[in-house]
Amino acid sequence: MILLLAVAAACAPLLARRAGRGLGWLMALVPLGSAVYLGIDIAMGPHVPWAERWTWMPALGVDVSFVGDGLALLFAVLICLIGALITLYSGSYFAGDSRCGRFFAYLLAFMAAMLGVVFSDNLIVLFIFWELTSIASYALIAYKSRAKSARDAALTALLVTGAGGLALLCGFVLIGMAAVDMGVDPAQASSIAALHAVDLRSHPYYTAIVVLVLLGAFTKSAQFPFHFWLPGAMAAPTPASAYLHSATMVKAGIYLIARLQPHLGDTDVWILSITGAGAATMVIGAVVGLRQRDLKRLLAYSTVAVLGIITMLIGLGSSKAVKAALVLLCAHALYKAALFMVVGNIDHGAGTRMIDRLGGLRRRLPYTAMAALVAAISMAGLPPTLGFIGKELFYAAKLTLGPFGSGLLVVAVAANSALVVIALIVAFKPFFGPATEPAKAAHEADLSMLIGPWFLAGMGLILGLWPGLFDQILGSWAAASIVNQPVAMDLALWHGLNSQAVIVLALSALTIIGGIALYVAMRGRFRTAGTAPAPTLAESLYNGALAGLYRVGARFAAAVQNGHLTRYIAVVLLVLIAGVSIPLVGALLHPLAIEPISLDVTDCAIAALIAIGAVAAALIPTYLGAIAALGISGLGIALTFALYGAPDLALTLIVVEVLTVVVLALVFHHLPVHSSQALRSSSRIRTVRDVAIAVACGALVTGLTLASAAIHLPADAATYYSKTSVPQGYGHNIVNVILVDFRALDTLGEIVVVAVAGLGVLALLRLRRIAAARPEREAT
Amino acid sequence: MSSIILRATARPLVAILAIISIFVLLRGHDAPGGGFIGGLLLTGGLALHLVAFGSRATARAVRLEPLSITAGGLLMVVIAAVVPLVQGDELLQAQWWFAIPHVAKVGTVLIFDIGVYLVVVGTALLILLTLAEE
Repeated sequence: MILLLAVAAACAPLLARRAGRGLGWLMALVPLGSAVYLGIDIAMGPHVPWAERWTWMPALGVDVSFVGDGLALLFAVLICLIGALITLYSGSYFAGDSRCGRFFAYLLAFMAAMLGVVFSDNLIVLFIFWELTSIASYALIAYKSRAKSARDAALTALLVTGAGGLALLCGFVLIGMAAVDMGVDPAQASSIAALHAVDLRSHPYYTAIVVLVLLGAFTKSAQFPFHFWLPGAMAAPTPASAYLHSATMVKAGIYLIARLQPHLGDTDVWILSITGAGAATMVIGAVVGLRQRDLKRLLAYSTVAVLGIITMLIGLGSSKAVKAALVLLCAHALYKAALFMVVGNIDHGAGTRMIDRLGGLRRRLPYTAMAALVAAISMAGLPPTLGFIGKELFYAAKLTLGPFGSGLLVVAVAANSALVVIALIVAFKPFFGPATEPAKAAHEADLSMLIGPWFLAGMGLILGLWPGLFDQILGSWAAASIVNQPVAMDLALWHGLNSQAVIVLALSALTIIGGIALYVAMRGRFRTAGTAPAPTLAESLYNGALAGLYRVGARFAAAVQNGHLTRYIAVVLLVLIAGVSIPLVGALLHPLAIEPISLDVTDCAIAALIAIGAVAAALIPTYLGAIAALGISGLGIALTFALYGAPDLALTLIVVEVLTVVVLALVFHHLPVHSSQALRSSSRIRTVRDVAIAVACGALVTGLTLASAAIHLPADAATYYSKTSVPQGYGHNIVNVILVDFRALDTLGEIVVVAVAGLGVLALLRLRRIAAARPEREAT
Repeated sequence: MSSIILRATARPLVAILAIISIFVLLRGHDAPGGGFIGGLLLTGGLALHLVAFGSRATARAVRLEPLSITAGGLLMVVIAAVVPLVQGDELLQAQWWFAIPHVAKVGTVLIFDIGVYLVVVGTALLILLTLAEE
C-alpha cells in the first residue's frame, strides 16, 4: 500500500498535465482505496496484529518489517481517510495552477512515508520514514517557492525536525545497543516487537535514550520549546497545513511516544518530562494563539495547544489518560482538518484570512458555514461531539491524579477556554459577525472543497452520538497497544449522576462559559489586536544560532577559498603532506626490505625522459610549452607501464595525456594572458614557497613509493584474481573483470562521481558566463 | 587554429578512433581494453574533431546532448545493477546471456561496461564543449 502511494506520487506530475481539474478526484482514489481496504480489514477480521517482514540489511539487523496493531491502524485510517479528502480538496484548491502536479506528488509521497512511520516495526526503518515525512513537509511548506517567507519557514521546519530526527536516530541506536546488552539477538535489536523481552528502564542508557527520543518526538509534534516552527509552517498551501500540520505529521511525535510507552514509560523521567512539556505547550499555544489575527496561524496555535494536551495525557500513561488522548487525537484530527479546509474556503472565496476583515459570510458561504459550525462545536468541546467526550475524559483523567492533577486541571480549564474562544473566532466571527467589505464579493467553494469539511465535521458528530462505534472499531484496540493490557473504553456522552461525572460536567460548563466570556471581552479588540508577537526565547536562540552558523561559514569559506587556484592547490598539497608524512616518517625509520631490481638501458632512458619532462615543465616560461613538457613525462610513465605488464594502464594514460593537453589548452583560453614576464615577476618569496611545497610533495611521493615497495602484499591478491577471473568472471582481462564484475559497485560509485564532476564543471562555467553576461544586460 | 592538413586528416582519424574505441570496449573483457579506455579513446577522437572544426561543429556532429549521453550511461549501469535482483540474485551479480563468437559475450557485464563507456564519453565531452564554447 505504501508502495502504491509512492507510485501514485511519482505519476502525479505526469498526470497533472492531462487530467487538469479532475486530478483531485483521480488522485484521491488511491488513499481512498487504501482507507476502504483498511476499513474492511478492521471490520472483518479479529483484532489481531499482522506482521510482514522482508530482509534488508541482515548484517545490521535492519529488516523492513511492518506491524499493524490497533495503534498503527488507528493512525493509518486517519492518514488514508483524511488524505483522501484532502487530495480531493486540493484538486479544486489548485485549479488552474500549472505546477500542482508537484503538490500532489509531495502530498502522496508524504502519505506513503507517514504510513511507513506508523506501520514500521523496525526502529531504523521507522526513522527513515520519519525523515521522509520531514522532507515532504519541507517541500510542501516551500511550495510557494517564490516567497522568501515560505522558503524560510520551510527551512526552519526542516532544521528543527531534522535536528530532532538526528537525536531520535541516536536514541534508536542506543536502544539497539541497550537491547543487545540485555540479551536480545543482535539481528532483532532494532525491532520494536523484540523489545518486549527486555526491560530497558533498568539499563544505564535509559535516561539518555529518553532524552534523545523525546527530543525527536517533541520537535516533530511542535512541543515547547520547539513549537515555533509550526505556526511558520502555515506558509504552506492550506490543504497541506490541514493534512500535515494539524491532522497527521505533527501527530507522529505523539505516535512515537505512544508506541514506546510500553518499553520506556512509567518512570519519573518519562512522565515528568512529557507531561511538563505537554502542559507548557498547552499554555503557550493557548496564550499566544489568542493574539493571532490570521485564521491559519490562529488554528496553528490551537493545534500546538491540543498537541500539548495529548502529549501530556499520553505521558501519564494510565489507561484513563491514554483513552482520553486517543479520543482527543481523533477528534482533533477530524475537526482541525475540517476547520483548516473551512479557512481554505474562506480564503479562496473572500480573498483574505485576516479575522478583522471577515464577517457576515453566512449568506455567501452557507455550506462552508455549516461545516465550520459543526467542527467548531467539536473543537469547543460541546456535546454531542467526539471533542466533548475527549474533553470530559481529559478532565476525568486529571481528577484522578490528586493535588498535582488539580493544579494541572486549573491550567487545563483555562487552556480549553482559549480553545473555545478560538473556535468562536474561526467559526462564528467570519460567518455571523457583522458583514465586512471583502465578504460581500465572496463566493462559495465547489463540491469537492465541501466534501472534506462536511465529512470530517460529520464524523466528529456521528462518533460523538454513537461513541461505541469508535470504541468497537479501533479505540480499545489502539489503547490496548499502548498500555499493553486490555482497555475498556466505555465512551459515553452522559455518565449519569455520580460525583465525578458531575464535577467533570461542571468543569466543562465552566470552560465554555469562560470561553464565551473571554470571546465577548475580546471582540472589540480584533481591530487592534494581533501585531506580530515578539519571537519567543527559543525562536530567537534558533535564529541567532542559524545566523551565527552562516557567519562562521562565510568567514571560513572566505579564508580557505579566496579564488586563487594556486592557493587551493597549495592548501590541498599541504594538507596531504601534513597528513601522510607523519605515519610515513615512522615507517621509513625502520630499514626497508626492498628487493633490489636491476635496471637496463631502456629503463634508464625512460627515467631520464620522465625527469627531463618534469624539469622542463617547471622551467619553460610559457603555458603551452610547460604542458607539452609535462606530456613528455606522462608518456614516459606510460612507457614504464607498458614495459612492466600493465597495458591497460599504459593505454589509458596515453589517452589521458592527450586529452589533458587539449583540456589545458582550452582552459588557458579562459585564463588571463600571462606573458613570461608576468610569470617571472611573481615575488621571490612566493617562488621559494612554491618550490618548497613542490619539493616536499616530491619527497613525499618518493617516500611513499619506497615504503609501498617494501610492503609485501599478501601475495594472494594477485593470485586470487588471476585464478578466479576466468571461472567466476568469464574474462581473461583481470583488470576489466575487477572493474566491471568483482568490484562493480566501486565502479558504479566512481562513474557517478565522474558524472557529478562533469555537472559541476558545467555549472561553474555556465554560472560564470551568466554572471559575466548580467552587467552587460543591465548596462544596455 | 585549424590547418587544411588537420581538417583533411581529422575526419578519417575520428572515424578510425571511433571504431577502435568500440573494438576496445567490446574486447575489454578478455584483452586490454574496456569501457573506460574505450570511452577515453572516443573522447580523444572527438577532441581532435573539436580542435579541427570548432566546438559548434563537434556538438552538431555528436547530435546528442553530452548530458543525455552521461544520463544514458548511468541508466545502463543501473539497469545492469538491478537486472540480477529481478532474476533473484544479488545486486550487480553478473548475468551472462549468450556469446557472439569473436565479438563479445553478452550479459549484464557488457551493459555495465557500455554504461561506463557512455558516462566517460558524455562527461568528457561535456567538459570539452563547455570549455571550448565561447
